[in-house]
Amino acid sequence: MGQILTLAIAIALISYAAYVIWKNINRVKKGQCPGGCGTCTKNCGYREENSKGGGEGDDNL
Amino acid sequence: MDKKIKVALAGNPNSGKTTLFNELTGARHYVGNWPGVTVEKKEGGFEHGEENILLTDLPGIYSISPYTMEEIVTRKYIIDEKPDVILNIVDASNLERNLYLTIQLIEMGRPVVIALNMMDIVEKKGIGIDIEALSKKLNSPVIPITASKMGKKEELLDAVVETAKKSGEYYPIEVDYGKDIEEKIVDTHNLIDHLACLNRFNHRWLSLRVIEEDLEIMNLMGSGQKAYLDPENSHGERYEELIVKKKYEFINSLVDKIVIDKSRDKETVSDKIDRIVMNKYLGLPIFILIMLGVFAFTFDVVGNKLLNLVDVFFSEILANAAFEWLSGAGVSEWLVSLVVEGIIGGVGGILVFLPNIATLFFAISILEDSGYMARVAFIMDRTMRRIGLSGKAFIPMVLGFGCNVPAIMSTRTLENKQDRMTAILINPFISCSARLPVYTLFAAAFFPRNKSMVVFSLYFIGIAVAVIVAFVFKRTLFKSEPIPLLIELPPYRIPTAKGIGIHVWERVKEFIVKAGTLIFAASIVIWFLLNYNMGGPAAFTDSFAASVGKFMAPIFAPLGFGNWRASLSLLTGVVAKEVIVSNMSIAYGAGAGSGLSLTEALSTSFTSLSAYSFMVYVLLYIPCIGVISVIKKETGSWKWTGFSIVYQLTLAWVIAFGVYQIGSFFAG
Repeated sequence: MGQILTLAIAIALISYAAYVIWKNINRVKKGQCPGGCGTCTKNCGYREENSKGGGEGDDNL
Repeated sequence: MDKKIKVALAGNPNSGKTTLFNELTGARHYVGNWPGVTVEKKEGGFEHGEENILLTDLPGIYSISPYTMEEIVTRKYIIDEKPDVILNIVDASNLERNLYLTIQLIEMGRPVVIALNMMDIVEKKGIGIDIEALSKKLNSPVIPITASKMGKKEELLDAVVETAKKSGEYYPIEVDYGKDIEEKIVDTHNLIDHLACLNRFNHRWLSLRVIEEDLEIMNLMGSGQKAYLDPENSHGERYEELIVKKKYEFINSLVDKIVIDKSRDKETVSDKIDRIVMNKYLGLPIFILIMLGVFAFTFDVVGNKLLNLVDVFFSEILANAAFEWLSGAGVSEWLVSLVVEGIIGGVGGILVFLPNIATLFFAISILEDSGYMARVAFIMDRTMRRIGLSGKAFIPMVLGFGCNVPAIMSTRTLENKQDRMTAILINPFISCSARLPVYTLFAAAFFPRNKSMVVFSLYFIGIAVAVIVAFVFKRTLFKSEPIPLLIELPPYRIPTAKGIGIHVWERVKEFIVKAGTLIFAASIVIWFLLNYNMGGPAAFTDSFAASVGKFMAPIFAPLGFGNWRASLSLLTGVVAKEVIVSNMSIAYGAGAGSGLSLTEALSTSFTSLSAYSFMVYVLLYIPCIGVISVIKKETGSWKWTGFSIVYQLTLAWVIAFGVYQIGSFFAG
């Protein structure tokens, strides 16, 4: 019983950690802060689809 | 219900657009009592009666000349998306300036509904406005409102729906620009009438824009047409200036007819407060005193009492309960250690600082919502201009106290490229809320009697370094003349509980979500790295993490913290600054049922001086990966991103070295 519980908890924790890391790598790639609450996007009304960022270089400045 | 009514919400900065947007859509976007909160447009849908409404909150602008990013976004939306109605929010306490944009919007040819906001302030000032006359003169419905206490929502939305339904019958009023310009409008109209690419514009508005030499419109014309254009009349007066003058003449005569001002020459409460807080000599010292008060309130009065309660919950109640439950269920010892020491120790080690963060942002929200922060931008303008930076660059700096990511994005409001690059590169020196747990931990451990002063000094060093670096950059890499700050000073308002609640909740939510996701995952990874090496399970000192920490430690030895645990925490802090504390909590084996507090554990490898040097290094070294990524996105350049990383690492090392070595010299 103890071994099954150990395995189940370990798989759950490691899968969750892997998912969070993968999700945050994607967030950072998009220029958002890690964490995923979206507060930063609300603070300045920034929305990805409206963004002029993302490699447009000096046009964006 | 089949077709959505597209409504564009437009108005001057700080006219209450975002508040109205939140009230109408039920959203909770960030609202500040200062200009420049909305940089890009936001959308929200809702139902009103039988109708589906899609409301778009456009950035605050003073005119629709395409000079700033906000003006371009707004104008492009109105031209390309052709909203059924423009809901123009007008600050009734500042009619002349707000109506300038209203006239421009009306001239664009889309039906306009005017929400006359801040009527409570106007009434308190003893000013009366003839709403019916204003509506008649502008040929648009005018609904008086107070956006923060929305009582006329239904009436406003009824007017929007009715105007949208009758949009085919709408005709915009025409300002009489005088014989000279009116003739010019006709000539220009004839010149460009046949150009198919210009058909999507209202023709009278288009002619005016061409006469005003609007570069975006001119670029759509052929060189043949441009050759016929003359920017000056026969008296050598520029048409552009004449048009602005005529618009203001129209507005002034309109305001004279509709406003009954019983309070002329009466000094308002805001004026009286401003005489003191914006005084040339007193302004800055008052701001410093207020901020000192904020830190004392956060760390000495409220924060720490709550912090102890949360600490007891995680390190004793939750850790013990988890230990007993898992051990009792026969779970392997390593997993019990991972959960209790790794996860509860790492995540709990961060969540204990939640009360401090909530208290700090509660105090800052009061300053923002009351209107004081807009004054601070004005006060700072003098200093900023002396270093060659526009006072407008101070607003991203204030946003940086929350998080540097939105702060760097908000530098888009700076028109000048050189100013913007400088503002982006100095922003990471502004202490974001993620660095607060590090300061709180070390200040409580090594400076228990002067916690608030120590934390305040770090914020102060951050601002001072940002200002000095900006001074150097503006004279070397990004030379340009500073643009004078044009900022609207809103009247002081008593902050609403709802407004402050939203601000504080945003921060608390951000912190909890980050603890439950990123810090949770980081704690698991750090626990494994601290408990294993290539040969399997290992003691902390022989682990993977210790090897990395020991490799880096000599770099930090001259700064006073050349131990592997401190070096490792700085490396993991690049993921998110809070991870520094979680890492230390796990690496020192503190908290979470160990019986040893992190504060006690830290005193074994830090002195007061090396602790201060460490905090200075954390303040100034590279920001988290999210900020680095946004610097790349906003500068569009790997070169400047790399430069930002290298110069911050160097500067942080040099300053922390100075702090430690000079401190050691005096300490003997």
